[in-house]
Amino acid sequence: MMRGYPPVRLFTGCTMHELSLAMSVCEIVEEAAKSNGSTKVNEVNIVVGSFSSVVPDSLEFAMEVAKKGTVFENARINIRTEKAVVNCSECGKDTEIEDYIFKCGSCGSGAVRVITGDRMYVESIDIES
Amino acid sequence: MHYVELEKDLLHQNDKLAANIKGNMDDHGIYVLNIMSAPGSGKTSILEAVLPELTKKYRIGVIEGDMQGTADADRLAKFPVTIHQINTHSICHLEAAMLERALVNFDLHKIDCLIIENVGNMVCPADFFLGEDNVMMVVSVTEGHDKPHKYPVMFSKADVIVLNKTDLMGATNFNRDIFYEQVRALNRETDILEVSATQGTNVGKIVHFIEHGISHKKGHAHDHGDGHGHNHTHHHHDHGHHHHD
Repeated sequence: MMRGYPPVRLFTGCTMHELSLAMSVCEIVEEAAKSNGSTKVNEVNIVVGSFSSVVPDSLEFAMEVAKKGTVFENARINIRTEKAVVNCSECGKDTEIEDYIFKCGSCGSGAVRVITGDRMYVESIDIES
Repeated sequence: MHYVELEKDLLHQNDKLAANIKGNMDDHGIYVLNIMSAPGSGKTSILEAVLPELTKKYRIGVIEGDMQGTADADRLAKFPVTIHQINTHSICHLEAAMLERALVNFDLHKIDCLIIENVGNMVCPADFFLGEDNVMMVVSVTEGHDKPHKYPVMFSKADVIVLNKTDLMGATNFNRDIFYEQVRALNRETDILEVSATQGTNVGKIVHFIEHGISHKKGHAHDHGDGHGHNHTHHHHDHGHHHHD
C-alpha cells in the first residue's frame, strides 16, 4: 500500500516542493471562499499536468498537512492528472504525449508546443453558502 | 452547496513576483541567468571557470542557492563579484519571493549580469520562474545519458545545456548519441555545450553564451533596438520563451 510512502519522501526534502504548492492551494481556496461569502468548503478540485514536476501522491499528502485550520479542513481533495498535449506548428494537429517525445503524431514534425498538461491549478471548489 | 469555477494557477503568486523581478531587471539592463542541475554536476566549478574571463569585462552579481551552508559562496569569494547566499533550509528550490528578498543586497545600478545558482535538484527548480532571461542546465557525463528522459521538464525549459565532465567520458558508459536524441525529442532549440569545467575545455563557449546574453540585454535596455552585440549569425538564440506566462 502507499500508506508509508509520503512520510518517507519528507526526508528527501522534495515533499517541500509539494508543500509550497499546497500552501498556494490554501491561499487560493481561502480567498475564493471568502469572496463568495463562505466559511466552509466541501470539495477542492486540483488539476496537475503530467508535464509538471508534481507528484500527485505527494501533493495529496501535503494537502492533508496544509489544510489544517483552514476553511477546507474537512474538505475532500480531488487531484486529477491532465495529459500533456502538443500542437504542431506545421500541420496544426494536436497530439497527446505519452512518452515525452515531443513530436507531432500526424506529420512527425518536431515543431510542437505544449498546449495542455504543463500547468497545475485549482479548477474549482464546492462551498457551502 | 455551491460550485465555484476557479482555474487558478498554483504558481500564480510566484509567477507574478517573478514577472516583477524581470521588469525590474529589464529596466536596469541586467541579464539574468538561472543555472539548474542535480547536486554535484558542476555548477560552482563552471562559475569558477567562467568568472575570471567574465569579470574582466562585466560587473557580475551571484546568488547562491543552497539548503544550508556557504560552501559555494566561499569558493567564489576570491572573484571580484557581489555574492549573496540564500539558505532555503528544507526547501528544495528557489522561489521568486526568496530572490526578491535577496536582491536588496545588490546595487542594481552596478551590475550587468546576475547569475543565480539554483539549489542542486533536477526536479523542483524547473517549476519556479525567477524572472531570468535564460535557463542554463548543467548535466555531467557521470550522471548517465538517460537523464533527459527521466527529468523531461527541466530539459525542456533549458535555453542552453552544458554537458560537463567530458574528460571523464571514457570512464563511463555515457552514450552521446542517446543523450542528444533524448534532448532533441524534448527541446529542439537548445544549444548543447560539451565542456570540462575543471580542465578548462570549451569553457569559452559558456563565456560566449553569457556575453551574448549580456550584450543583447544591454542593447535592449539602452538603445531599444538592434544596437550592438547581437548579430544572429549563429543559430537560435531566441531568448525568453518561458512557459510560465
